[in-house]
Amino acid sequence: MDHLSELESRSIYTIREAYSHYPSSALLWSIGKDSTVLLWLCLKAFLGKLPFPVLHIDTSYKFKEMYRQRDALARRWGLNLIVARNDEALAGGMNPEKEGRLNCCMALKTNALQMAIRQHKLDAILLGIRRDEHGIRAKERVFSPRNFNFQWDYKNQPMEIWEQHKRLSEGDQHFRIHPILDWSELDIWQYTKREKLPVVKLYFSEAGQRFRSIGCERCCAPIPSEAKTLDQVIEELKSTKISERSGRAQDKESAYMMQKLRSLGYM
Amino acid sequence: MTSAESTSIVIVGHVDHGKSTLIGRLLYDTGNLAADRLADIRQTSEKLGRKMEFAFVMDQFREEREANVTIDTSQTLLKHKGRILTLIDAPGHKEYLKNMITGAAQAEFAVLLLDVNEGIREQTDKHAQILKLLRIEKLAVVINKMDMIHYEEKTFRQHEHEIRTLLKERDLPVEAIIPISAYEGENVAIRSKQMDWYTGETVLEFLDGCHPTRNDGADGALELPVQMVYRPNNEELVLGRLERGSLKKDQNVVVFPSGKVVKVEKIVKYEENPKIASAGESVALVLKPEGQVKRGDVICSEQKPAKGAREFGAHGFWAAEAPLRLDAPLLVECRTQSVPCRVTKLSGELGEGSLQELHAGDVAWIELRTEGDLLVEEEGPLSRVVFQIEGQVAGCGVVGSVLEKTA
Repeated sequence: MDHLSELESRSIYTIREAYSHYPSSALLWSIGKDSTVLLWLCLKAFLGKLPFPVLHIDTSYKFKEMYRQRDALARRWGLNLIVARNDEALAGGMNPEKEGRLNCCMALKTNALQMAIRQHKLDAILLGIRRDEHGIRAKERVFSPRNFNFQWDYKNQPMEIWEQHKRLSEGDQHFRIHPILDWSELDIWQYTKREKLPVVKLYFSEAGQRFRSIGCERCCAPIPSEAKTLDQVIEELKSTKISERSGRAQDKESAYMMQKLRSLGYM
Repeated sequence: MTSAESTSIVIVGHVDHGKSTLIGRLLYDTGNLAADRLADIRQTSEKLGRKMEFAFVMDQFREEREANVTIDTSQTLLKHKGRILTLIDAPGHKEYLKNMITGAAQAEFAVLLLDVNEGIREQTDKHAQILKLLRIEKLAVVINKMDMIHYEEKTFRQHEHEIRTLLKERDLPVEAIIPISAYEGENVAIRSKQMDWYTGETVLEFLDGCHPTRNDGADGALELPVQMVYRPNNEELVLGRLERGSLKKDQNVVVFPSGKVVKVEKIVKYEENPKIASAGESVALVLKPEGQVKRGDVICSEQKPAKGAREFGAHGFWAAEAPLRLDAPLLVECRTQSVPCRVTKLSGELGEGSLQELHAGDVAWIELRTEGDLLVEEEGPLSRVVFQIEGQVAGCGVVGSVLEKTA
């Protein structure tokens, strides 16, 4: 079996394990490249018919192209799409300039996610984070519990071995499940190409710039790039010396920002 | 890219002997460290009033950087000579052994590191025992911090002899013993000019020689542990991954433990119906008659019917705070199987002596009696078992012998 097929098969195994143990779960979909691959793997795991909803945490500040893509794919794949928004914070005028990025991410992403988990009584959510994206994410487990304050107890993570993991038990609010944790950025693009998956155009170069990682429009910066096609993106990644999330402002604002965000429940 | 191109290597050893630094140095010397990550490390090192700390590539938690200790396992990718190596950092502190084994179990190869000023320490030996338990394919030892003893050969030879003796005792073959300075980059990716008396491999050369062997079980055996039965429409789909062997459309298979024979009417993948599936593939099966299988069953070959274990022994590791005692009830999990068992015997890791209980961090020989049907093997994926107590992974083991089979 080739490398991509091996990754695919292992991820499908994880997705099916997750659903076997936690039928009350949802897939977190940001319309970005990683969670779109994860969505596709879920469709493959369940032969085209997802047994759980797809959750989009909508900060209202996402790129327009992402909203269009979301609605088009939700129709094409017959998804049960839940859009979760922290309307209260938005009504209060929350934005990154006014309140700072940490507070904005907390309110519009972390808190919106927590509200959705409570409202839909979810025991587990599937997320498309990867180890090679960020050093803090590299420390994650595939099955990662969150406590009743939705916190990640990163100093005392459970043992995980041979794809066996701890079960939701006393003290755990829900599980974060990471089926593509060991995929690299290059794997994602090579798989996207192999499977002919739809891609938001922002990832391709226009006027000498492209986005390598996408989220909220105001907090994403493009990188200089001439890569206009999947093949060119793949070639570019093979030689780049810049890390993937270098354009993501919330990772950088201060040292340990990612650790702080994640320990409090950020993705 | 083929699977032979991806390989995982874990770096283990006693706390503060330089594991994270070695990984950081390897990435730096092979041009695998992104410019912005390098800047972050330089900046944080300066802020803490230290020289360049390569360990910060892996040690990303604030607590880890400030206290200079790795708390949890981490992984990073090293691209070299057209291959992608996954380097796994494992903590060397006794308290974090469960994190160490979590990381080490994902590796096919290992580098055991020791500090030339300290030699063999408690966790050096413990990690060696764990590597043995995990059946690591190939091991190199690196003796680090040679810069601190002015690259002197005599002290190195002394440590080399001691570690060789220990590993022999532990029945763990070692491929190379390499003198290095991770901090200065001597014999890591670049051959040291300071140690011209050493002519063996550098760390990077050892890594280049790590190619995993894969056994797809072409011995007629077939093992597909059932994950779940799914009914998206009127057809019953049996979901699972082939752990061993291959499967053809229209072939008869036996269901463990019921012994019932069913026919594989269809192999289903999303938008395709393959005629054959092989080891490692996640598939869906339409079996006739329907309604014969559930989660935890194992689909086996008709020619080589599987027999469950009544009693078996495993090289085990105990992780839970509460000790494991003789006669204690446990849930043993092997892939999707989950069966209650009782501990019948505890002894040293080579089967010597007899123990009353195991404590967190102990490596031992554990014998168990099953109280249900459990299919385990002495090799391959079904040799790996996990012990669960109240929803926690409390320990793990690799089956060494099936002492009694079901009738």
